[in-house]
Amino acid sequence: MAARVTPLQAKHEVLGARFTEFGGWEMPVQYSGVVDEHLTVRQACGLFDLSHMGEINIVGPMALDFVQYVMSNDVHKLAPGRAQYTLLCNESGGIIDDLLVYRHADCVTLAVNASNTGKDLEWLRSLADKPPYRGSVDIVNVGEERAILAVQGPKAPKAMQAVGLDVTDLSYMSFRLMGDDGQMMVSRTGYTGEIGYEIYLPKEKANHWWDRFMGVAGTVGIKPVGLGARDTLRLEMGYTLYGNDIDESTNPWEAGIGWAVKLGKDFIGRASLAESKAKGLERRLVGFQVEGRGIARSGYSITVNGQVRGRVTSGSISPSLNVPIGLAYMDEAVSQEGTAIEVIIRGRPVTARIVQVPFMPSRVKDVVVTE
Amino acid sequence: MKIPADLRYAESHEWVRVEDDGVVVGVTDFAQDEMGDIVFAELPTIGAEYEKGEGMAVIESVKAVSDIYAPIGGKVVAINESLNDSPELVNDDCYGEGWLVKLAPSNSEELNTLLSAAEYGTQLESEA
Repeated sequence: MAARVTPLQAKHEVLGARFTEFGGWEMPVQYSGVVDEHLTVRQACGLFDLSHMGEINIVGPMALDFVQYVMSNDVHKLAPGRAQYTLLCNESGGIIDDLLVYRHADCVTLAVNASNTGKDLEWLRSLADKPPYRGSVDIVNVGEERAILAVQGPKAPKAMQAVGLDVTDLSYMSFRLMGDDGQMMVSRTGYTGEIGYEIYLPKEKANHWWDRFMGVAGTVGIKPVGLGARDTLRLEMGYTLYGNDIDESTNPWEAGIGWAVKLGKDFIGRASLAESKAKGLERRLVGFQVEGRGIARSGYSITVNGQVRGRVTSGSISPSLNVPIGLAYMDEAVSQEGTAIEVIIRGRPVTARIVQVPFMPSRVKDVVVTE
Repeated sequence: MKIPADLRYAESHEWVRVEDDGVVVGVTDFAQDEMGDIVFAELPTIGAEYEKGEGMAVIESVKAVSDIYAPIGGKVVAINESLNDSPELVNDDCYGEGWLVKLAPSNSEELNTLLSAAEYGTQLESEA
């Protein structure tokens, strides 16, 4: 199957992007270089095309009840205009996807992982087809008609102002419908650890808004950023990536995202998740820093005193800290911060240490100061 | 894409420069550009011997790990220790300061199996 391209493909080509296939999409992996793009987001502002991500609306008279029943977090605690991180789990508590729920007055929008969109739709539709939801809930795949941009970094508020999007009052995890017809959903959300915004919009408008941001790029300090830097940015924050750090075989507590599971309500997977919580953790996802020479990569084994006790799920160099960092599942008994470990790199043990995550301070909740 | 005329090339994107006391090996402009920001180099130990085509070093970019193969057989007589602290030299000056390894060839005849600059250029065009 040929990879799909976003409405901004031609822009990326003109900018000299290098492409990679991700979740069935041909996506820009880098423009000026991963390190430069990464540091641009930390110091100024990055513009991302995230149109590969899925966007699904859940509508109908029972939409909110349905979301409450299929997601792990408590959507009833979510006010309209607010977004929430949540998990879609199967009956055995396996994570089908991790996603954001955007709450409107009487329906919701989901932002889901590109590679999981098809699986999520199938799962949601199968559930919506059963009583009492049948006929009262519609799962609408709007992603085909939509595009997504992200504007991330300390200068993101200035970038938004410069293109005429007045969102400086939005607090973290809030959003607003904008544009003449309210078809543009702008949220203070992101996957970088910086102040930032995500813009969900009709795909015909994608080029217009991309050009508007690139038109003020010189004055504000904006550069286009690809999936390469998106991965290192999220890794520095210790954010899990579906398919690397979490999947249907991981449980939310061992992955450190148990805070998004509310066992006080009924939902799919609740019984299994309650059971696994009661059993306690066998392993835990931790952050580590390599102290010897070498870069840990996904799949490498981790030993403690010569015994294999863990496995790397994400690893790279941290462009901000200029040291190799990673995430790994470690046996619970050897998962404490400060524990000395060895990463097996090409057959040789390289010293590393379990450290606190995020690897550097998150700025997502920083107050926006306007000039 | 720079392909200096005075060097020889391996199909796996290493270059070779013949000097009086051995052959210097590095990666081509094409290879460093493909890899992107190079952040780590693992070089062999001096005295190690490799056959033609054997993996002798590893270069890592932010995203990827790449094996570097011995373009000809030989014994390592020098390594570029500057790369320990400044692996980005491979990006900045792949045919100069960013060299990797110097080999004492085990069989100089093997040099004749390498590509000329023109032949390597043709290979790149056919891969594009």
